Amino acid sequence: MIAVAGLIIGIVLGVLVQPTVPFWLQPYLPIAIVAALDAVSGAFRAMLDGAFVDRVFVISFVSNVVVAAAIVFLGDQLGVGAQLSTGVVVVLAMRIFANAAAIRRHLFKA
Amino acid sequence: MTAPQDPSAVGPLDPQPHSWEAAATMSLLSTLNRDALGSDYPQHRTAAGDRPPTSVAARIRTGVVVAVLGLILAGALVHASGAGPVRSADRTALVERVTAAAAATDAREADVIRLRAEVAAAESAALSADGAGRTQAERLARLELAVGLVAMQGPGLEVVLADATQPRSADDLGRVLDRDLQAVANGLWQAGAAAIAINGQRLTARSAIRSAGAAILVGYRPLLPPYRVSAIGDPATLESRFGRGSGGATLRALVDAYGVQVTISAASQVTVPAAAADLIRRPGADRGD
Repeated sequence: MIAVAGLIIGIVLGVLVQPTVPFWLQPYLPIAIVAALDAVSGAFRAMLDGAFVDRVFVISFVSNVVVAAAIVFLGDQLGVGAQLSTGVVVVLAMRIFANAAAIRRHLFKA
Repeated sequence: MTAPQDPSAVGPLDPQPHSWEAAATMSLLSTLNRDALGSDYPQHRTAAGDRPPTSVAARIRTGVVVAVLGLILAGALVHASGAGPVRSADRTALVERVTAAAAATDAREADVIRLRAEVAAAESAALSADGAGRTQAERLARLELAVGLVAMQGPGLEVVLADATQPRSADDLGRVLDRDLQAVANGLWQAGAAAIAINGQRLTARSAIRSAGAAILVGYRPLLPPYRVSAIGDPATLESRFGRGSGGATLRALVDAYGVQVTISAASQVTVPAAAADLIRRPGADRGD
């Protein structure tokens, strides 16, 4: 309940405040979002599994976002930013799909 | 799949010895599948009753993290849809800079014209003293007219060109091109025009009529259609000689082939302004040109 309320509050805040993304942060925002979506889908799956632990969720959310952005940053410095972003996105997308498949099995038994 | 040679050694679930290569090449994918794609959460499943009840603080922590996610998502959406304040602020700033630069150019241009008038007044004052000076002054006035240093007024001819109202095809939009204006200008010079301006831009020996993208530049100033070519000279002579010359032929071809709209009219009063400062070369003024 609190989580759903938090999501709604966050979206409303974002639309109302329209936070300006600092220029140096802009390349990493999409990757960070995908990483965050991965953490959230994993948390939802764990909740359905009965294995949800809030500590794991908070830590995995923050670390996913930071690590994904850090990998892309490192890639940018090394000149392979585009390729590394692709790699990160592929892995995260696969994880999101795997989580979505598990959630689907739980909800629809299919 | 061939039957295994030694059925006793290989159970149905055991990996085949010859699948070693496959195992090696697939290890990346299987590792990915096992580790990277697994859940972050401990997989020993506990019954709901066995787990310690989640505290309120833990729920709030989760809620805050999810709120951050919502904030980022909404922020990124707003940003990506272009409604973000950054982009419009950038555009406004650019427009302001363009307007300011144009205003500064106009002010400098006005300064140049005022200073030129002062110079002309000082010249005529200095030259009107004696007979030789007056001869020089007349020569100077003739030359100034010729190079476009002073504005001219008098009877003349106006040729107005406009793009075709209905394009004949997607490839042929019937637009007036730089070379059409070149042909008209050259035709008017041939016909004996004393001075020519296109949309108020005086042509000098240094004016180029050329295109940059879809726009036509005269003396590096972009023009908007319709293009009004004003020429000073005896209207009747100009019109007949222009019509017989290459300029008139070009215009007729444009009208027939592309539907370009052309109007030629004699006018008793045509004004041709002085040329912009950078289109007149003063001796020694631009050595690095």
